[in-house]
Amino acid sequence: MRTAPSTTAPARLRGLAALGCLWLILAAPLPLASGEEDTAAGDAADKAAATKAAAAKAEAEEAYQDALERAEGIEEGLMKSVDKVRVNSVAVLNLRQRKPRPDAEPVLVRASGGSGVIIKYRSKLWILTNVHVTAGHQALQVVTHDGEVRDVELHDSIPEYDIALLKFKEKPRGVKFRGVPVIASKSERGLKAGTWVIATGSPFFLGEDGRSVTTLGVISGLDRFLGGQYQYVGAIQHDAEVNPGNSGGPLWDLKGNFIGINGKIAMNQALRGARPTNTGAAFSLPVHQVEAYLKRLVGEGDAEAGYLGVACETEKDKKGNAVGARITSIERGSPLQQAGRGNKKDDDCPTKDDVIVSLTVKGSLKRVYTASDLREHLSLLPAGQDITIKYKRGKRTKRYKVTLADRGR
Amino acid sequence: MARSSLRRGVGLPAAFALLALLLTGAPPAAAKGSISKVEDEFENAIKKVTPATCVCLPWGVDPRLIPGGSSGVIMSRKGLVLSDGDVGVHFDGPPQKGKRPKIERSDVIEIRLPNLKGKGFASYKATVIRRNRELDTSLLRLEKAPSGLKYLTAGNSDDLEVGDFTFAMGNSFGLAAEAPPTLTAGVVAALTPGDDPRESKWQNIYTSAAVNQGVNGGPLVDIHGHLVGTISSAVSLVQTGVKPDDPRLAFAYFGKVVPIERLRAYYADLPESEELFPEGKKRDPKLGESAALGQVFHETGRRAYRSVVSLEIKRKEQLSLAEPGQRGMMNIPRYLGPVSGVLVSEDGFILTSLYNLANLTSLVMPGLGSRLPENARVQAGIEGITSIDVHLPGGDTASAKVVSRHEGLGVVLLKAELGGGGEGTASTSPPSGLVAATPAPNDAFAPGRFVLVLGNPYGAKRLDDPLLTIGVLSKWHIEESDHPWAGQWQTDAGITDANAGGAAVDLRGRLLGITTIWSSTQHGRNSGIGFVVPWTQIEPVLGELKRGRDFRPPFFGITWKPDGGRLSTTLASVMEGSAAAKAGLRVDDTIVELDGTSVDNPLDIKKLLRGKWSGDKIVLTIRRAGKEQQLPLTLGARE
Repeated sequence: MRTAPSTTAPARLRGLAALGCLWLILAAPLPLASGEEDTAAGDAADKAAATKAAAAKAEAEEAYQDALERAEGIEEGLMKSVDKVRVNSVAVLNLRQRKPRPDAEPVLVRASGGSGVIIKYRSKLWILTNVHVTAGHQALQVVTHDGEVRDVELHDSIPEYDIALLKFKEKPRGVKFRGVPVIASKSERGLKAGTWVIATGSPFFLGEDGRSVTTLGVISGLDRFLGGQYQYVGAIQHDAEVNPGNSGGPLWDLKGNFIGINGKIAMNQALRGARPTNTGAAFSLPVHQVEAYLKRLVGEGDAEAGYLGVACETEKDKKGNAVGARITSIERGSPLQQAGRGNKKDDDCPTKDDVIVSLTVKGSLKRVYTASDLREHLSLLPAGQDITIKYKRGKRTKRYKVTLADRGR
Repeated sequence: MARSSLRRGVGLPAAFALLALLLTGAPPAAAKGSISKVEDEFENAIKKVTPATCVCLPWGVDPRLIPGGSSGVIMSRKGLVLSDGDVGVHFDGPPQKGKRPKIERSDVIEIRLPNLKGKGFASYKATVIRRNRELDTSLLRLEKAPSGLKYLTAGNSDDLEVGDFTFAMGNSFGLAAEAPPTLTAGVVAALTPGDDPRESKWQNIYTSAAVNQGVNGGPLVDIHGHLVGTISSAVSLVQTGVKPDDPRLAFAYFGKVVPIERLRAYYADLPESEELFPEGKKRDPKLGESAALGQVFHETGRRAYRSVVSLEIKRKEQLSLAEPGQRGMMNIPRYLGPVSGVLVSEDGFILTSLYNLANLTSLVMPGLGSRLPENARVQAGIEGITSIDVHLPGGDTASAKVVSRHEGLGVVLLKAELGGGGEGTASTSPPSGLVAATPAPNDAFAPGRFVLVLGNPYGAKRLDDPLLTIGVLSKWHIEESDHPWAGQWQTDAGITDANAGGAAVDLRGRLLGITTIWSSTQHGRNSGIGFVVPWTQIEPVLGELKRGRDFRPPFFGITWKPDGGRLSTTLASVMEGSAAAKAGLRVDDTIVELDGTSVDNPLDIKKLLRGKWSGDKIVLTIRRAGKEQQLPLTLGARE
């Protein structure tokens, strides 16, 4: 029992009364035993006990009613938050040409789909989603919260980091969205493990009428790295239910701040072969990364991700503290490999087993303590960016200047 | 708590309130619950457990030979660590042709603690003092504990109640190997009574907090951040050697946790026991915001549980999820233990999900002449039942019969024979203490509203509390669609085989509806997608259901003639004995109107029949030999 000792007994009684006669019989032996010794005294004692129990029961009931009032206050706050965020969540439809019959003209049909979020950036409405939601599309549509299906087009994307920016083909009329800002600063968001989060989206097409599906959870961890075709750097891990179709949809805090874009879930090995579903481990691209990408996505210039092509491990000192990112391999065709090979005497070019300790970008120093630090810094830089790598080779510290490439070229 | 609130600026309005009180003399309104306080309390608890949660790996073993590893929790300043019974497990070598690698358990363990200030982690060597694979626990000691080692305070698991918030922490999916551990939050879903109550009130704790591979051995803490148990594993339906009717499978998809009181008893004889569990921290009697919420989950759940019954259904052939010819199926057995139902009137009418009575893999699809096998399966499923035992809240057991079903809503109505002078029964009155569910207000739906899902998979061994999961209402699906979930409310509260057919209630315990599992094979049974059949939809048809009327998808027994590239409303055939034949429809008749609305193609008819069921009466206007005439028709069902 959770309450103070004085309310413990009534709480138990309350439960027993609730469960009916069987349990009352089980509870009965104690007062019965005392009654056998002296019936008259027993009656008086029983009465006193009954009065006491009734008073305690009333007290417990009062405590429950108070807790109930508080719980409903919490619920009210929750419903307000959900109400606030749902209007900016959309279902994304990925259309492809299919022939309804072998001899018929191909028509555009919804081949796959996902979710998206409407944001306001530089006083314009945009839709953010995942690249893997738009993959292979011949046309794209979104369904807004009013149920309208609206034509959109892909403005630009950064495939490495699974982020795509869509725009409305026609200004959406007759519908209101919240001017959701994209907050860049990590510290401003105040996210921690345990912070409550809301995911909205269209899992398994269940939000395809525009009214998104709301799920609730907490942040499980920050700064997660997930490799693969789509890299998630500095991702937010949370346990709000996320299923296929939630991809591209927003993650919110309870104040209604847009904090991330859902895109990946972890799969349980024991259920391998099953269709992926929620496991309680979902990953979102954090909004500060999104903000960095937005500048490039919106602009006319290249949005391509900068590419260095090194694989790293965290280097630790004797005490176990992380001190840098040790290069474990350099990809063929990457800027460092080309520099190292192109000029064999270029001893300054970092190579395997060198430990990167910082990057300097446009005069600002970015420290590297771990492999994930390096990945995070690099993930924010576009192709064509000049950077200076500071690294340790044995006891010597060296610097090397290199231009980030575009992986596609 | 108060200090943390002040830092967050909540103190300032409080100061103003005080000022206002001084100025006006009026008492301030009672403080209502605040979600930011709940978050503060979560944060406080998590702050305590994070630095004490560690990763446990066999010392000096190639990482590729370690299948997942364990989590653990530091329990003393001098470096005692609790983990699971399989700590240190690894293969003796890489897989080779013709030779399976052997599984070994190393007693020398690498303990990794995240460096929370900087980055990375620190490694320490530890040795296993004792391990028990049955209890799924191990005790380790660090060879050399660093100064200032953070450790977790022991709580008391006997104090736990169903509905309490709990936090699970550990290295799930190996993601925390070099980073702070993963946190998941949930409530205590079930507490099973201890085999030896002198040792521990509870045998196992089942939590709705997500438990995944790698978290095993990690701590489960209460809202105060005190240890209440160590995580064993997620209960899986695919466990080898477990029969589908094994009562343990009622907890499939929940996280199984070993209560700290059992650990305390098990390690009591060790000289380390004093250091390990100095004294269990008692629960703080003052209810914080999240504890108040937990108290409501508990008490409301317990009160509403009075209307939740357990059904033991015997049948000629066992249900299974196997579907011949379907590829890509998960090899998951169908759960065959007792299932949940809801008492909707004190004279013994019980509602449950159709899923519990038939081989259904998804919600039943409504619609005209549905060709889906679901309708046939419902029929076969109900016909295959030999007996139904209802275990009532008071401890009585009654037998029950199927009264009727609604295939559109996916519910079935049962009637328990409660005695009352029936033939061959000694009792003259029905069991007392039966309480029918109280319906929620008609306007109860709001996205974000809390939902308590109450299940009763306990059969004759009814526990004091329901199998409880908590979630929110996710979405109201529109009625005007052909989806099987049309008109239903979606929730993210965990719905599994064990609580499907049970009650979804609001914070005051009022019935929102009957829960339904979603696609049971394809999407997992606890995917965070579940449905509530709203009471507002059941209530209008309950009277007819009680009178024994089945609501089945309407079936005419006709086929349509093609007209160019599409189908016309002219009849190509009329099945003998069908509703159409009984109404007098003939081949070459053309249907022009249905209930006065003109129709152009079969799709129009289908739309007009939405919301109509077998037994409903309609009027068709048909054209026969150039002449229009009206024909009344009673809709039938596919037999």
